[in-house]
Amino acid sequence: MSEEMVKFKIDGKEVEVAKGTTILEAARAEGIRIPTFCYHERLTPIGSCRLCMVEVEGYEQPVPACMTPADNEIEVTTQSDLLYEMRRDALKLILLNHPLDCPICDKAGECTLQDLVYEFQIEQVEFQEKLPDKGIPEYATPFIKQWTDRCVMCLRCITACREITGNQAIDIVGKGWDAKVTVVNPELCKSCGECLSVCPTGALTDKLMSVKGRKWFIDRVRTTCVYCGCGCQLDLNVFQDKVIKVTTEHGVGPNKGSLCIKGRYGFEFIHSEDRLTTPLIKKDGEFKEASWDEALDLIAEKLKYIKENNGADAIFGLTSARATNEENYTFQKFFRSVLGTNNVDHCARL
Amino acid sequence: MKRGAKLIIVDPKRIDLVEYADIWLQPKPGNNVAWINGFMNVIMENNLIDEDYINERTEGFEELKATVKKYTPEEVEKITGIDADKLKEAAMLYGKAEKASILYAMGITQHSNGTDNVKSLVNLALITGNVGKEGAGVNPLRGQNNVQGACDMGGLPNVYPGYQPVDNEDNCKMFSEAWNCSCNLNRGKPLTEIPELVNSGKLKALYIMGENPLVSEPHLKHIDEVFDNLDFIVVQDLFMTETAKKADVVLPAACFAEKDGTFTNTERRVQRVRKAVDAPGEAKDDLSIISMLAERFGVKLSNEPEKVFEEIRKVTPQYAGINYKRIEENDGVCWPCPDEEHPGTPILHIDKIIRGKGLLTAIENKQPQELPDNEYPFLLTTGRRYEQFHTATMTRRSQALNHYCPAAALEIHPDDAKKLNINDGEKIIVSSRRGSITTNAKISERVAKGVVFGCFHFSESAINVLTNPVLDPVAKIPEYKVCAVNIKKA
Amino acid sequence: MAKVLFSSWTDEIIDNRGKEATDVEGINLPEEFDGKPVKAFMGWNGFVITDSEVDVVELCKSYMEESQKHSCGKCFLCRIGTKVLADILGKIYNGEGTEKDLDIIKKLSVSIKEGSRCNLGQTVTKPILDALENFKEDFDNAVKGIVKKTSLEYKSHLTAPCTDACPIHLPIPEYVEAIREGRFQDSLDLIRSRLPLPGIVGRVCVKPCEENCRRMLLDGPISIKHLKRFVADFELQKKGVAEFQPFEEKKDKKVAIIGGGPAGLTAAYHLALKGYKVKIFERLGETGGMAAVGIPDYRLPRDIIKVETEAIQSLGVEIQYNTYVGKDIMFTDLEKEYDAIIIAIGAHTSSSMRVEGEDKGYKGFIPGVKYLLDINNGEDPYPEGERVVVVGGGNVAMDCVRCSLRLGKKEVNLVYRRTRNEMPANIEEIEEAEEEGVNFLYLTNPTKIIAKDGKVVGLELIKMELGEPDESGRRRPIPIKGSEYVLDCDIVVPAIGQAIDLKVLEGIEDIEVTRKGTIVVDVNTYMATRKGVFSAGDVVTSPDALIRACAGGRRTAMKIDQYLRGEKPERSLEEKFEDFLSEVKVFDASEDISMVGGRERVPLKHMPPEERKTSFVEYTEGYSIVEARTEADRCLKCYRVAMLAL
Repeated sequence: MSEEMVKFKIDGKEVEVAKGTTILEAARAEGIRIPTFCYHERLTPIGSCRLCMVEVEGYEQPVPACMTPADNEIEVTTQSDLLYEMRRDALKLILLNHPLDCPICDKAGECTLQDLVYEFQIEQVEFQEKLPDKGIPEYATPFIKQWTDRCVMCLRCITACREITGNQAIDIVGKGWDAKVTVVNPELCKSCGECLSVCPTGALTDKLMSVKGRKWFIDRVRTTCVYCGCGCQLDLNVFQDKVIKVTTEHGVGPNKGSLCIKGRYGFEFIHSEDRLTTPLIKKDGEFKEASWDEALDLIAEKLKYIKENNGADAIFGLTSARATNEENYTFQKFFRSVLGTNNVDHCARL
Repeated sequence: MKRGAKLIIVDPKRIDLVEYADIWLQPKPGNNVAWINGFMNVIMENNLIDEDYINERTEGFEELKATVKKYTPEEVEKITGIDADKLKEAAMLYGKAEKASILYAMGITQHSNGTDNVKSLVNLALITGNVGKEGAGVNPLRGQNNVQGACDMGGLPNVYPGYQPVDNEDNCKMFSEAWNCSCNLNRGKPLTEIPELVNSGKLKALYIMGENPLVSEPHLKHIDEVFDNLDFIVVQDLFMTETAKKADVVLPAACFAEKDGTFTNTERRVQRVRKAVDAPGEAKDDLSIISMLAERFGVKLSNEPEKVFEEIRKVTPQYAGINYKRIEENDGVCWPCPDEEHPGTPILHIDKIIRGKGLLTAIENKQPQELPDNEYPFLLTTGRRYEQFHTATMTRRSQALNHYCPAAALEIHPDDAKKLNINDGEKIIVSSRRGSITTNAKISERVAKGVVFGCFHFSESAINVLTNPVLDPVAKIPEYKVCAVNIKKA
Repeated sequence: MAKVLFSSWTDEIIDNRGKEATDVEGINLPEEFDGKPVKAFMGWNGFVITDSEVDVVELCKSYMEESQKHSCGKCFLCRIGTKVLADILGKIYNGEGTEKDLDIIKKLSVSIKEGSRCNLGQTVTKPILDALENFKEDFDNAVKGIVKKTSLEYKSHLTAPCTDACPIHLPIPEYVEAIREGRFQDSLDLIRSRLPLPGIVGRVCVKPCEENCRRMLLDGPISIKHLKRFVADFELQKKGVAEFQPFEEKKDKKVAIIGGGPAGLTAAYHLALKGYKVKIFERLGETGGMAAVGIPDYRLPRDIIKVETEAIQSLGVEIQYNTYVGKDIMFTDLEKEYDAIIIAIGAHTSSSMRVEGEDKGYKGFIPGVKYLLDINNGEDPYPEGERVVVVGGGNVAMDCVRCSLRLGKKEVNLVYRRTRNEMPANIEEIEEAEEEGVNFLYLTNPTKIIAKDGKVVGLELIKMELGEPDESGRRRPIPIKGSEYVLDCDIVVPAIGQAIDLKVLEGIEDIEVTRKGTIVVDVNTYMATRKGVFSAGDVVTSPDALIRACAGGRRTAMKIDQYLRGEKPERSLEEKFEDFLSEVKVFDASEDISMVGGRERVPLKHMPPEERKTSFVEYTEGYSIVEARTEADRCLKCYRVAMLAL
């Protein structure tokens, strides 16, 4: 089945895309940058920011590139004086209600708003004084902090809650200036953090992050989640040899950037006080700290003794569905080749 | 579903997904074969089978047909309690779909006839031509991050890496050569048979790497005694678990964030694990520990993950074409992947069924081994909670997760609670023929009348004290999903 | 209409300042609102001043303040921009503004106009820009500190062309947007805030909204009707039933509704939501009125009516079937038991064609309404008859011919005195009847029924030609002398209109009835000329669209609520605005929408004509989720703020 195509021009460049492709998608595929703020690849276009407005030759009204499918023979202009001023005005309006508290914001350094304000060289907002803070009530979750005054109402969070999580825990309430993002169904919120992961500003931040680390001090290590069998890809955010939070990259892995509460917040055990830090040998019913040599020598001695006296099949090894392939492989190899028994199993059935 | 997919849920509990489902069927726990046969009955009656597919790719259809004939929706209603009309509706929905995917987990497998259940699902998918194409299939959802990998790597008593049977002479020879040793031709024993082995004096030592059987096994009281009868126990873990407390030697292990390696997910996708931080104190990764131990037997086993992976490729045909570089570049690779040019295989059985013909097996429904009676009038079914993981050694050490699910609770239908005069949150004693636990009652319409649900995450009210250790004869999986209990106020 | 002192409403500026106010063509501004003279009107297309008392700076400031109340808050420019404009205009109005402020509002107005997400933001700054241009002096004075403050009252209302055209004024852009976003239940709730019958209306509405859809001027109107059906069907599929809870406390007062058609059901729903005890007395064995017995199942399956009726019953509404008020039970008996009564009996008898032989009782002569009623009850009214002639050009006529085909009649003709262009039936209905093989005889009128042995054997017809336009604007058909001919047939079905059966009023003298047989009600109170008796639907309006009956039912319920609370029934401010704007007219068919189009309507899947013409099964398949969301995404969200200075 051949797809219906449309041909049109962006900034003078001839392009051909499948019917239904938006101007923004077509532009991105061509490497033409149209500034965006609320647009997110995983969400239905929201159209709240109005930064992606483009002009179309012969039509009076600019259109949002994110929501407008390309049509045959149109000629799109992505940069013009009118568009530049409109985009600047939109950003200035945001700043009326967004504090410039970047020095204390977790998002500094990876904030879309910060980048755009810098790009558009907005040094002052001449309209009027900053508008008063709206005092939005806190989120339902004890693990996501809502910075009420930083929210610019791009509505990504609401859309993500609805479209990715399938809930409607948060929604927009009120009209005009008084409209705000509020928890409407607290019982539906399970702190999955999808809202947080799409927030382009510092309006939603991790509350668990006990140690603060700026973006440029943090190492992000991509790894596979340790919980269920989905194999979600996530980034451990490491600061001073501590995992301080978990983030994801959109579109990556079987999870495409989503996580459940375990993947996002189940990392604290890594630095738990309860972790075993030294080998222990039980003497007279009590565990005593031991060196690795002492412990391993004892194990080797015992296993050799049992093998000799009771046969290799008197030893049983339980490997782990939580260990790596390499560890599992080596464990069974040790049992089969070194000890000489096939008594190897793990809890696949549980 | 936003794009119009239809969802059928079959679950004795009203799980959260029911909210989104088109049809929810609520069978009594433990009669899966009956409703699956019922589905096939409706599909055959309405001629929604894929005849060409059955003829070309399967065998055993006539026998199946004969068995399934008895399972009319009305008959199934008697066995399972599923409304006959609803069953018909669901079966028609599945049967008419261009492609339909079956996803299942332990609700299917953790029964004394778990293998029958899985085979029945395969029957259903095969007769409708739903195996070997995108968006279809019979897909087990695996509950642990690397349960697939642990099996692939030969972490099973009967097979070498790549599911190569140990009791096959060629395999034995091949591995003896590869590992420079002489391999044992006898199959090992499954984990669930350990109690028997210990009691008969055949088993003396247990070496446990990152497992917590003293919470996860059925009939815990019994297991506890078994452990006391072992001569020597080694436990390698992150925490002082219930199992570690029984050990003679406990070795501190590194967690996933502290080591490199690979995990294989439920789609058979091999993905990387990367070291982010150092392990605490003297804790070491499992690979290094085994390697150090092997040294004491005069054997050199590598402690470098990538080198080990290279060795895995050589002896595991399914992994032959995978290497760290390819995993990096391709966002993981799905096995089977026979060589480095091969793109990996996200969907199995595409052109033909791998074993040749898809085997259709005529299966009769069987009742669970222990059903409610006067003495133990409630049916207990067990499982997990969204916020906790397995024996919860990791998740209970995370505030966010504990916040949402801090303690064990037994879900009980409001009508049953009323009869027993139990209030929500009240302490109750739950007993089976094997033991008793104290837990909290959670009054909930998620469960049907007469059924109670408990999770196995919490060692202080370990539900597995109650569960029945009867096993599926093939998979040796215990019947966690059904046993009989009684309930009293504490 | 009001006389204009200044207007920027049409494309040209009308400036009568210092002169006499004049009438202006194209500006249909009523002189009064809520009993007070209209002094200015500001809205999406500019503003009109009719009184010199009005201060433009104050008007602009108030308009921005009102717009803030209506802005949905979903885009930066409108949400914050209109707030900033309102604040700056407020500053200027208080004499605290500067020259620079004037530049800012001008520039910002342009950005909001060009960049806002919906038509609200895109249109609210138009009058501000008009004012800055034409009333520069006033603004300059204000900046200098010379301000004039009036004591005028400002009232505003949010509308949209589709909403304005909808008789029950559904919040169409809002519920369409909810579908776009996948919030199907929200969408349904929005519809149900006014209309309890989305499944019925979503199938058979004559959809004035779509004729007033701005997208029509681009690439085709939004399929609003199909979207409404989609959300209703979606709920039915997912939940099986709809259940409501009354949102107000239960009340003791009781209301009887005579007739369980669209008007009666809608009234019952709203009264029940308000907590009243409601009982419907239905003459037939089922609810739905003409929707049930007049509309064939292939267009509106009975199940849908049943489900929506049950939903209303879930609110506690009782229905007594097969009860003919005026015969089985007397009106006065109801009055004794109930605190208020609604007469909503519809128009269930066929109008006469006034041709020879009509009153002879020939076998094979079957009035349209009776014909459909029998067929809908599963009977063929005259199985021996094989050749059918239906007379008329409305939707009922279409239903008669299409049902005839489905009964297996060999030859089906439709006789209409004008041409296809003038036919009042929906164009889809006409096209589908053509596809199914109905033989259309245009410019033809019956003159005589030919019968033999008391049975119809033919219909004498005369050819017509079109003359001068009549009062309806359509050209009057004139018979061509001597062109008579006979069409052989067994069945003649007149379907030229319906009449009202007023047996219900047996013995009641003081309820005023018009010459056409409709009940007279007060435009403000919806009360008939007898205390406590209200009326709605076709029995008031004479045969009209189903949605108009629903609208009447809703408003009547609101009035009864006031009446039973002991208040004086009166149209609410909202209703007054709705009526006011209907006169102003929100939709402008001559507008040039200058934007990218090329997105055709998503069509509904149909059974092929060959298959459907033999079956009474619903022949259309509702939208899939993807289709519905794609269609909803076409909506231009033409919200508009109307404000009056009084």
